[in-house]
Amino acid sequence: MKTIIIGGGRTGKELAARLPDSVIIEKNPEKREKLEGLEGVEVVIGDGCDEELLKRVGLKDASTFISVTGDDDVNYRAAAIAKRYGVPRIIVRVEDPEDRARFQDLGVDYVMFPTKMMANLIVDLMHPRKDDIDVPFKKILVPILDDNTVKRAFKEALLVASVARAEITVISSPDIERETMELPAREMGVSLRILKEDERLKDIIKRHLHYRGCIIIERVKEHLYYPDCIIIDQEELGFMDRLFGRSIVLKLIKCASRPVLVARTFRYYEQILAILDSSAVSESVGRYSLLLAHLCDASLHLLVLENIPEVVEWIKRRGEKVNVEIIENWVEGNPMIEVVREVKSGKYQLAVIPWKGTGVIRADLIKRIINCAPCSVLTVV
Amino acid sequence: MIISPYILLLAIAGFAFVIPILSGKIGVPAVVGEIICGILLGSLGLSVEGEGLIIMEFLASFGLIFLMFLVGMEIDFSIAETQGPKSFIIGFFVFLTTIAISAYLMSRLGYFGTQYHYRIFAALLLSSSAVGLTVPTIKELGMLKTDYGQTILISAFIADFATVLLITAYTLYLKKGLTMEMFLIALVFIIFFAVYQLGKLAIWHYPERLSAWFKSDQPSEIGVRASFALLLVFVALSEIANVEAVLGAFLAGVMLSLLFRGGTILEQKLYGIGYGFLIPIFFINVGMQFDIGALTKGGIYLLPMLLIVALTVKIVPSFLLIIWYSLRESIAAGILLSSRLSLIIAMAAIGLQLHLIDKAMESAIILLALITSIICPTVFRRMHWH
Repeated sequence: MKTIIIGGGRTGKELAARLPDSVIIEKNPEKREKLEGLEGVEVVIGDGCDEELLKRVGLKDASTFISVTGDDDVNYRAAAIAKRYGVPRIIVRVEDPEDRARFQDLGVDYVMFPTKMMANLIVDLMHPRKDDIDVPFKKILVPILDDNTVKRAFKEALLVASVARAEITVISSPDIERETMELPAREMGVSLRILKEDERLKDIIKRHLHYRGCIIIERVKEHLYYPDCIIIDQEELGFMDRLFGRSIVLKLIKCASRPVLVARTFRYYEQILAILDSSAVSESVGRYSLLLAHLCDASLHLLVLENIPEVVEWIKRRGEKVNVEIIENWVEGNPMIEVVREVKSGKYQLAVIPWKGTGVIRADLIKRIINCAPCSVLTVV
Repeated sequence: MIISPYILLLAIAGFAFVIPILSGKIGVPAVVGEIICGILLGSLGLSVEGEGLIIMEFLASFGLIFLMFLVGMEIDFSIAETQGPKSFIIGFFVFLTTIAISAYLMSRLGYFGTQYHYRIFAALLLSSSAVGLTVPTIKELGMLKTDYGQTILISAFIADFATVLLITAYTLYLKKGLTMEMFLIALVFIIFFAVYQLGKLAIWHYPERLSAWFKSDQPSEIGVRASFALLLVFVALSEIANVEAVLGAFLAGVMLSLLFRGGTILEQKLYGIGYGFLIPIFFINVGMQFDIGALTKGGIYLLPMLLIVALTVKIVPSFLLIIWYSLRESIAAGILLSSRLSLIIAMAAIGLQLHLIDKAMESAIILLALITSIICPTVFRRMHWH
């Protein structure tokens, strides 16, 4: 489980100190002395973009590749090599937000924008609570059904938790390796609880989850944990499943009475779509989408289906204060069709929608979006 | 006096233009004005003959079909989603009680003699409501999003939906008896369900193409064309299945409401075509066919009885609401639900065609609609004035 870190600056050093069995590549020989004091860390002086050097230090066997130099070009070239060699997890630091698209196209797993994140954090500190800008979720529950979903729902939960400074509790089936979850959580500084040893819980998962998704939430609520968001993987539904409404995700959302995020994006959100109408839930939709946009440094697109200037103004005012770019789109045609158009446009990584029909958006359509949208979907109760 | 159909159309168009302005000032529904103007035109003895008569009759009957199409569009199923099943259950029981009381009272009145199917038809007619009046009244009083307002709306929706269905099934039964053809109604519904599923798939897979239907800057008016095609598919289907064409039109309207609720621009265009041209022709024609002689000979005597029955069958069941609301609110709901307008007149026209009611009864029903459409919403408003 080797980790290769490019860049021996403060971030690189801090990371290496927390990740034993890592190799740190630093260009400046003067830094060697400071880095060599780290226990279990191999220090190599050289260019992080040198393919031969990377191969020598074990790129082919690395489980994680982290490039955190202060130079976006170096990070880009290093990540491109790691990508070519199929490193399972690649994390890069990007200083210039304008470079975002280039890194996204490269297909790296995690792109961090420390400059923007720091700016947002400072603004938060300067306006504590006063603006109602808080974290969207503090406790995230990830009910993992099988090994395949570990990599997906959990991955997105990690991203959300890392920016929201939230704690994740995973309800896992017994055959999943703890290490596959603990390591990335540690790397991203996310607090993690895994509930899988509990016999009663195992029994609940085995017996009920596939049949009656709601049971698990009720039990979890009663005995173990009270999450304020559930992140679950999307499920594959056949024609008959759709016809007879056999969807665990929908059952979970129905009985959870709290926001549920159906994970599909697996990377930081850059563009978030919020669907707003005159229903009472619209304010919550606006609030959650604004908080997530703020934390992920994403732009927020408001799809406004009805004449609700007060709600839109409220979101815009808050957006200005917390440095979120807001784009309004007032629907002219049929609201349901325009919702489908936007959700399917491929522009967004996350769509925030109300759960239940609102009068303007039909419940059938909401279910379809939850099950079939190309992006992650956060349902708000 | 025999006149050219174009002169008659001009007179109708003139009235159709002036009536909404006048009725708005007086505070009565435009339909009431249209029927009264029709009666005036009829009393002047204006008529057309030959080909002109066929054209006018076709326009009036297509006006009826279009009216039912727009009534179907007013049925808003999203209420069930936002309100849950409670209001639907209440509305369903209110309707069941209405129809039971209506049937009982009609069987007791003795007007129809031994012809039980006449009584059943009249009982069904009186079970209807007027969604077109209930929605604006509730909206005007700011009750649209309240539990109470939604319960009244759903009760009106259920009453109108069930009345159309039951009258269609009953007239088919009278025409054909209890044969396999009764199942053709089920076939119409199966096709309705299939088209609905296809429509949902189309919205999901082709939103870009469908989006253009609802835009205001579409020179080819593809949305209006598609709506007419949908309407005519269901009307033709009803004809093939031997059920009343109004059921097909109603279902086509419901389909549009189910698939595209909130497509305001298309809705406005369709309302423009309907209420701006075709529907006034139907109502003015109803007025022109209004038989004052039949009214004075028998209809006028039927009116008090019909009025009492029409109010009783709605107010008594509304006492069920007392479990959730105050006595005053329950009675007020019953009074608002007692208002009738387009649907009862449309259904009475069908009853007359099938000889299930006579001219006197039809004229009394039209008068009943005129009176209740003015009085009931006004009384409801007064009861909620505070």
